[in-house]
Parts: sequence; structure tokens; C-alpha cells
Amino acid sequence: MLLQILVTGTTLGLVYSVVAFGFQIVARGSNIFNFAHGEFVALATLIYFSLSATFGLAPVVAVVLTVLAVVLVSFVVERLMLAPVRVRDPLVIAILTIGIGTLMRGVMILVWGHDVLFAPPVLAGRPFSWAGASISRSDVVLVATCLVVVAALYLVFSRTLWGKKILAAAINPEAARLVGVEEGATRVSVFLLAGLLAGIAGALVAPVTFASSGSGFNFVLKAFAAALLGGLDRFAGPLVGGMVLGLLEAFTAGYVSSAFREPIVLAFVILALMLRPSGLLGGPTERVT
Amino acid sequence: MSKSPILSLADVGKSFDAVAAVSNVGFDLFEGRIYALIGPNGAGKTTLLNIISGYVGRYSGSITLRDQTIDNWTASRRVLEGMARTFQITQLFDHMTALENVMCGFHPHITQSLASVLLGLRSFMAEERALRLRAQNLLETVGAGGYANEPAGLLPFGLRRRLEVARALATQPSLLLLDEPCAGLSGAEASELGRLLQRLSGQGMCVLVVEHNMPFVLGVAEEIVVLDAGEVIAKGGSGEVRNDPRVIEAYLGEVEHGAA
Amino acid sequence: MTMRASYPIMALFVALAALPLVTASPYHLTVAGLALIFAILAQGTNLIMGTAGQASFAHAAFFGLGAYTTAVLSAKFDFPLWLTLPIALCLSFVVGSLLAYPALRVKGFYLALVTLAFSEIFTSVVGEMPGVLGGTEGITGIPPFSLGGWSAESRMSKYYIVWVGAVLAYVSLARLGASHFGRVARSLRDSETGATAIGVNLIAAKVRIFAVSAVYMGFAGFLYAHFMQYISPTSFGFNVTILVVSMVVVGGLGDATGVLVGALVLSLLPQLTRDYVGVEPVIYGGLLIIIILLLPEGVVPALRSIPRRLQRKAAAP
Repeated sequence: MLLQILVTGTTLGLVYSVVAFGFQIVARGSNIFNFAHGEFVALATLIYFSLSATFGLAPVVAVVLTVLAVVLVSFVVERLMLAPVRVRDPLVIAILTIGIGTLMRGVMILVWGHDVLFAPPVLAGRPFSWAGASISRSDVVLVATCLVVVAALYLVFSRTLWGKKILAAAINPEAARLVGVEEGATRVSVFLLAGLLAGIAGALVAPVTFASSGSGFNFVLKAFAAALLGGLDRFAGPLVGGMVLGLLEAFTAGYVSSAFREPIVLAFVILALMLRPSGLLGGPTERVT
Repeated sequence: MSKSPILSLADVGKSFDAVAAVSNVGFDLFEGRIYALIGPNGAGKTTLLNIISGYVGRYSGSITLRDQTIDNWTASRRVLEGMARTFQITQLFDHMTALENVMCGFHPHITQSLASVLLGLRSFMAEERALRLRAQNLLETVGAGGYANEPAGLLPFGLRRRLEVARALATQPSLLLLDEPCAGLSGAEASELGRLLQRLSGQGMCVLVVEHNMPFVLGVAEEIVVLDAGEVIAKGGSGEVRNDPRVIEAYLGEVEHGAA
Repeated sequence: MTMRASYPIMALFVALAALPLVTASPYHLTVAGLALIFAILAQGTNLIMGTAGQASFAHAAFFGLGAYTTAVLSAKFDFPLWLTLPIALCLSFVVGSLLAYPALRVKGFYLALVTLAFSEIFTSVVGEMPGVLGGTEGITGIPPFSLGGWSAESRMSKYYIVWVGAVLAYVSLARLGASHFGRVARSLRDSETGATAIGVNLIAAKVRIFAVSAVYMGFAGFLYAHFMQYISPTSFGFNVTILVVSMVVVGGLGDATGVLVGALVLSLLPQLTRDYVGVEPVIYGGLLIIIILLLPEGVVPALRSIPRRLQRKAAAP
């Protein structure tokens, strides 16, 4: 039982981490809190479902096409709805992203309805059994892919010039502008990257759990919570926050109460942030005078 | 007549990432006098002002306001205790009118409770009228009386700076800190500001001005503190400071490097 | 912002008061009553989100808190109105303060997360706990407004009570807005540094404003419970959050009068889209996007400035 919980928690945690990275990168790179981010993940689950279940495409093909589709949607959303914004107020922009997310959810409901849909697994075959815990092949693919993604993100942000520019812009936007980091181009890049991450997370989590038009809000809430919990200003923040969240959710569902796992986990996050406002990894926090 | 200083700095220092912005700064300010804080660019004048007014977190050394150590006081508390300031980049409430901006400045002394706002209509309106009148007077003191109903965000630069002074005065400070108040002011306006500061110090206010405008400084300041590379290199009346070799060198260095 | 009487708004309230004389349809009165309740909720939200400029998304939860407190106390425990109303309002104030204080100790969007999480927690808890909170079924049989021996049995009397509540809310918020409290709130949105420079303790001020806005949201919930006499968790979910945000955006962030008008208009939307349930999110989402892109200052303020702009065009050669 404990092992099963650890497996579930780790899988969930890695998904949350990848989604949280997408949220954090846009927040740090463009100072936009994208509340529509969760809808991109939900969209990915639904597209994967359609491609693999309805159209019968091979799972790997379906995953790749899903990711491409979500990246494309991400690009369109950024160009059509974010680039033309005339206000600078972060609150108004956050509300705009809520509008975008709501619109996306509405479209998803029109196309796929409210149902919870089950997609075929990514890798067919019997689940692995390990000391009483069962791990499906799709789980394994999910975990492996997430680890690769996180490692790749680390490399991108610590080794490549592009990654460093984004980080620099996050820390000091004025200085970054002087050095030639252009705001619009940065925004497109981070949105594309976030779309990529949402697409991967959604496509791989659909066969493990389910696809549904209503799952977006939950994803963005978890992503936001994980990002802040780990520490918005630390690169590894989303990873730590996501893992803590996933494991906590699994433990709560297993040992305390499955019905109340959401409120309990969220209450824990609020409490943790009150005690350590700069996140579990600590770091500089702007204290209000 | 020995008075104790209203503001006292002792060995104040602050480093950002191993770079000492300010170090070993100590001086005393007394009521009813006008002081100027000058120095070449990058000397740490605004940083020092930020330290004094509470906008910098931790610093070494100690600052006392009327014999009370204020090192762990928040910036807003320092305002409530009589320390007001203006900023290099004006921090006005752009969506409010100039009059409303000044009215905001009455905050430290407002006694309006929510209950009185909601229940006593006549007294509420009378109070508001009184506040409006006082704010109008303050605007006129800084020469902005005609702009009372203009949105602050639409005012030209010079007026914005004067408006910020009016708002600072509304808090009824005993210590007024001004960060480059003459920037954007014409010669006549600067003189007008100088006369205002003299009136205020005559009424007992202590004024500390960070300025680059030398004629203004020499005309108005009774004592000058010179900062260079974060340290106090000279203190005294305008005559002494002008002829101090270290001061000349500091500014000469600035001229040589093409700055200012 | 002075206390000049707003004649159009007075006329609006008079017209709304005359509504029962014009139509006998209970449906119309219910819709209008709900519109007024949502107007109160939206104006309360506007205080913290628009005027003070803080990212707060807990309005649906405080609306629910007020409604559930009222419902449980009056339906299950027979508390009289003169007890349930103050309790609902105080509870909103206290919970608001407790929620906001730790969230606001740090800058940034912590309040957004905490309020979103609180909304989620609230709907989960009232949805999952049967028994006194009614679970997914909700709470039925809530008594109507009653004071002394008299109770508001007819739809018309319930409507007038809600109307009175709406007038009280509007007038009190207008007064608050025109007072020092309102100026401090607006200062928070324009310049936190400037607010600090006039001696405002940012955390204390934001918590206070949040708590006051929570009281209005709870008040709307109180009215809702007695007006509808039935509540369920679905009335306080994220859909309501978005609907109210739309009202504030349409009305113009910070513009109490605009939000009143915007709320009344947008309250009609759910009635129009009732038959096309899936369409609602598309409409609200699309509305938010279009308004923020084209009329970010709000639809009502934009309409209000049309006469001025026409005058300028006429004056120009």
C-alpha cells in the first residue's frame, strides 16, 4: 500500500512539476500569471484521446501530434490575445488569461462534452508488479519522459544563451531590455515552451488517468500552488513543489480521505506558504514595508 | 542652547552583494535647519536617503529619531512618526487628482472611523470639505493651486515634483527628506522652492535635500554633507565645503570622466 | 471623487423599485432580485479587485459563506434574522481577515492563489459534507426574511427587501469610496511606494479592505439565501467567480457605478443562455477577452465618455 502510494504520488508529482514549470517559466519570463495554462493541459488530454481512441492513431504518433497541436494553439493564443494587449496592469492581464481559459474550456465542452474520457495506453502490455505495487507501462513512460523533460529544462536554462536571457529578463527586466532582450519575442518563446510542456504532460497523463474538459482549473491551481510552494524564484521550485504536492495528494487519498484530498492538500499549501512565504526552497522574498 | 538632534546617524553602512554602497556614515541633523546632501553620481546619496526613510531592509550602524532607535521601524511607521520624503521618480497616485493626492497625505492624522463615514453624513461632508480646503492651501504653497482637479498622471514633470512635496507636507512632518526636488524646475521655480524650505525651517522643520543643483544648494543649505563612494568626505557650511580639497577632487574626478 | 448625487443611478433604482408595479410575473421579479444581489456581490468584489487593485478571487466563496451561514442558522437551527445577519457579516469579516493577512505578508500573487484555493476548498467542503451542510443536495426550506411577527412571504416583498439591501450597499460603498478609506484603497492600486510614503501600512490596509469587501460579499449571500430559500454548492463555484469578474471588468475596475450597471446587465446573461448550457463559458470568456483588448477601462466608462468625445469632435474645426 505504501509503495503503491509512493508510485502514484511520484507519477502525479512529476506531472504537476512539468505543468508547474510551464506556469513558472511564463510567470518569470514575461511576468504573466497565465491562468489559462491548465486548459492547455486539458486540451492536450482531449486531443490525445481523439487521436488515439477516435482516430486510432498509434499512441506515439498521437502524442507527437498532440504536442504539436497544443504548441500551435499556444502560439495562436499568444499572438491573437496577448500581444495586442494595451494595458500593463498585471491584474488585468491575469483576468485576461482567465477569460482565455474560460473560452478554451467552453470550446472544449462544445467539442468533447462534459464526459470523462478514457484513452488507450501509450505502451500496451501488462503492468509491472513490484513488491505488491502495480505500475502500468504508461506510468513508466510518463515518469521517464517527465524526468527527461526536467533535465532538458535544466540544461536549457543553465547552458543555452536563450535560457540565460530568459532568466535574466525575469530577474531584471529593465537591464534585460538594455541588453537587447525584446519583450515580445521573449513572450512568444516562453508561451511556446509552456505549450510544449502542457502538451507533453497532458498527452501522457490522459492514458494514465483520463481526459476531460473540466480538468483545466485543477491543473492550473496545482501548477500555481506547486510553483509558489517550491519557490517562484528558484529554478527547481516547480519540481520540488510539484513532487510535494503529488506525494501529499497520494498520501492523503490513501491514508486520510479520498473525498477530501483536494481541500486538505490545498489547506496544507496555504499553511506552508504562510510559514515559509518564499517557498520550501527559500530564497529572496520581497517583504512589504 | 544645546539641543539634541532630531536625526542621528552612527556608522551607517549598507552593502549590496559585497559592493559597499554606503559605509561609515555618521552625522546629526537638528530641527529648524536646512541640510544638503551632495556628491558625484553614484556616491550613494539616494541609497542613504532610502536607508534613512526605511526603504532598504537591513543596514549596519544605527539611526535615531529624537533619541529613539528606529533601525527596525518600517518605512510607513517612520512617516507616522514625522519623517516624510519625496522620490527621484515621483510616486504619485496618477489616477487621482492633484487635490486628492494631497488629501491622501493627511493619512497619519486622519481620525475618520468607518462608522463615522457611514453614519454621520453631515459631519462626514464637513470633514471632507475641511480636508479639501487644507489640501488646496498646501497646493498653493507649492505653487500648484490651479491644478487641483487635474489628474496627477497628466501633469508635467515639474508640477508632479511640486505636488509630491505638497503631499509630503500634508503628513505634517518634523523631518522632510527631498530627493532631487529641483530636477525639472525652472530657475524661478527652484528659487520659489528654496523660499518655501526656508519658511518651513523657520517654523521648526528639519529639511534634508539631496541635490545636484549647486546654486540652489549654496543658496539654501545651512550645512552641507558631501558623500563620495559611500563615505562622508566633508561636512560643514558652504564656504568650508567648497574649498575642501577632497570635495574638489571628488567632483573633478566626475568631470574628468565625463559624467554630470 | 465627491459625493455628488448620481441622478442616473437614482433613476435606475426608482425604476427598479417600480418593477413589481409593471409586471406580476414571478420570474421577472426573481431575475431582477438576483440581478440586484449580484450587483452587491460585484460591487464588493470591485472594492478589493478594482479600487484597491488586488488579485482576489474569493468572492464566490464569501458569497457562499454568507449564504450557507444564513441557511444553516435559520433553516436548521431556527435562528432569527436579527442574529443570522450580524453573524453572517461578522463571520465574513473575520474569515476575510484571517485569509488575507498571511497571504498579503508577501508581495505578488499570493493572494490570488490563496483566494483560488479557498474557493476550491469551500466548494469541496460544502459539497462533500452531507448532514447539516446538505452535501451536494444543498439546503432547502430556508425561511423567508422575517422580523418581529412579519415575514416576507410574497415574491414582491422579498424583492423589495433585496432592493433595500442593494440601495444600502451602493450608498455605503459610494460613501466609503469618497472617504479617506476610499482614497487609501485607490492609492494601493496606483503606487504602493507612494502609499507607504504617506504612512499607510500596506498589509494592514489591504487586509482591512479585503475584510470589508468580504462583508459585502457575505451580505449578498445572506440576501440570496432568504430570497431563493434554497441553496446548493453549484451556486458558488468557479462559474460565479468568472461571472462576477466579468461584471467588474465590464463596469470598469474601480468604478462602483459602472460595476453596478454592468452587474445588472450581465446578470441577465445566464437567463439568456440557460437553454444553451455549453455556450456560457464561451460567451463569458470571449466577453472578457474582447473587453480587455478593446475597452480595458470598462464598457460602462467607455459608453459614459461618448457624449464627451462627441462634444470634442463637434468643437474641433
